[in-house]
Amino acid sequence: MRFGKKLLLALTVVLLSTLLLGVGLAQEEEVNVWVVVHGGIADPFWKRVEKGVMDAATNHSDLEVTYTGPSEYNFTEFIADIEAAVASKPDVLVCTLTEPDAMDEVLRTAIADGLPVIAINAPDLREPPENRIPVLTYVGEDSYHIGVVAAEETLKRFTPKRALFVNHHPGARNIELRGQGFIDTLGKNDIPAEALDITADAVQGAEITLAYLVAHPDTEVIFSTNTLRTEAIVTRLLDEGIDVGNEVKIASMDMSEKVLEYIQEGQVMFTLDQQQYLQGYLGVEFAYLHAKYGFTPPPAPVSTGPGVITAENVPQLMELSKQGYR
Amino acid sequence: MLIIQNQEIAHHQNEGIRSKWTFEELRKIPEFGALIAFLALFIFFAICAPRFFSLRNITSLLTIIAELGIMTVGISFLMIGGEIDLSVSSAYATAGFVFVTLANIFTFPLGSLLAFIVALLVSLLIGFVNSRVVLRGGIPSFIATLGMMMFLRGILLGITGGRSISYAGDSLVPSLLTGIMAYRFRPSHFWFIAIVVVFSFILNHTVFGNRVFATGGKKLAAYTMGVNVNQVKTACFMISSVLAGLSGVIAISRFSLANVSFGQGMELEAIAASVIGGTLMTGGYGSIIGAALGAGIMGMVRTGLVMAGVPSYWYNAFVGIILVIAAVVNLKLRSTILGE
Repeated sequence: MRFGKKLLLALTVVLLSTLLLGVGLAQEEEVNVWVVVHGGIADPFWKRVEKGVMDAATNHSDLEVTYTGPSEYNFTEFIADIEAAVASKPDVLVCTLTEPDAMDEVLRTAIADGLPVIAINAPDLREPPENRIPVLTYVGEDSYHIGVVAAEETLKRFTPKRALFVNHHPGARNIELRGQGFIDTLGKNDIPAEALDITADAVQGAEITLAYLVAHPDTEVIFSTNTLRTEAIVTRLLDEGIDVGNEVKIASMDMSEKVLEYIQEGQVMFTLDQQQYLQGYLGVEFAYLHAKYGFTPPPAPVSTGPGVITAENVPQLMELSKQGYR
Repeated sequence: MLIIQNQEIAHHQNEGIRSKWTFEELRKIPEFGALIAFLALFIFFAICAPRFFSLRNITSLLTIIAELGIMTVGISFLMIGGEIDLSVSSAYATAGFVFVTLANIFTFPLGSLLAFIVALLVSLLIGFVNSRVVLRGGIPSFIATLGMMMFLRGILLGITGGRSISYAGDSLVPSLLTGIMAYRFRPSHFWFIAIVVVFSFILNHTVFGNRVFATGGKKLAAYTMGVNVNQVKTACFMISSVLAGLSGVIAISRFSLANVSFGQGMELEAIAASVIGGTLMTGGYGSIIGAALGAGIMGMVRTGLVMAGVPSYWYNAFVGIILVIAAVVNLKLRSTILGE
């Protein structure tokens, strides 16, 4: 019995030391990259980014990637995660810049201390450019251009009497710019268009959108730039007896299985794909190549879209969406 | 009767301190469970998460804990007094907005200080209104403060349209509250410690503190003993709001930005922290040091899990378990101590 206990103790010590040694050795050579997104990471949109991140991580055996962010959008939690990432001293930090004003302090000091940072998905668009957080590069959408494309694609199909941009993330500069691009382009064609804040809550957002339609029955197109919001709005309007796709047409952004279904069924005209898988994938790949070989990534913005997705290209995308790539 | 019981608790505690520190006596201290949990989690994360136990991380943890902790101290005071305040998160955001807006307008010297004072006065007013609705209107504090929470958040959303406001005022108050010091310490860490010490003293060593315990324990008994229950509760509501407001101004000074989404859901975190720290939801029992440790646990769990590479989906699950365990332990403690 006594011998048994001693043996157990000895085994534990040996195992633990081997483990610690292994961890120590592994840490010596590994490139350590942290990816922090404002999320929420449970959102289907961010699952694509995560897949891109994880796929890039498996490309290199000496690359260790930690992916995190709040499970639902919460700015204070996001900053706490950024702080945790910085404290973990990674070789490169890949993160979104959703509120650059509030991220100045933590990121600028980290960058000054020698931490390379790559921005993905949400850029720092403050003017003049010298005031922006000095990241290595930005991989993601060109926000204003997305709004322009949405308006142009709409005009190719028909000329609406009135248009609405629903803003699901008021205060986020990139989302506002999407709306601005949309509104400006339609405005040039004398079509009244405006932005409506639909709050961070998808269910509430659908109600607000419906209320707007009741107040402005001449609205013929809605541009929503978040799949969850598009889904909530379409469902709510259909439920209200509105003939979505005829009375009101929807222009959407990004993809989900449901949005693709809506495109096939004609409720949604098209969706603009910012190909966020690439944001996660390229963000991590650039980070690895920078840390390992000192490569400077291509200058910002490394635009990942938009692609225009219509009923024609839905079938092949359906499969890719199920696999989590698109 | 209840005051006698409270004295008994204090007597037990004192005995525990004076005589030998047996486990039986130790566990009668309200913050004992929280202290054990705090230390256990700290050691756990220090082992599991590389660099968790680094100065850089400790200071950033303290920043998060200080902001949640200041709010938790306030709400604990109120919970010990037998009421609840769900509007703390909205008072947090409101005070922050008032501060940023006014500091941006007051461009004269010491403008930010004046904005800070007004923001705290607004928070006090929120607490006062809450107390009036609850005490005069006879509405349960859960409902009254739920209403206040939604009302304030709605007002902020209505006024700002959800847009953030950047801070452009002078740097006096931000640097006094949260400016970075040596080794990335911030004044907010020390403010938090000072607040814990002061409010712990008030609760445990002053007549007012004794009345808070009595009011929360058995209102009628306290009333018949000559305690002005309504006055005590009003003060507690105001303490809860003003500390939430202070916490909001600190957070918003740190970000140099006010956004209507800031602090959303924080009321439940503060209540959870308070309960984890040994405060009873039913009132009459609790500790400020425990509340601080509870806030410490909440902040540590979040960062610790992230640093250990656990997806943040698990955070709530983890906190949920700790919360329920803490609540069960607290209830057992109470029945042991009070013999109920």
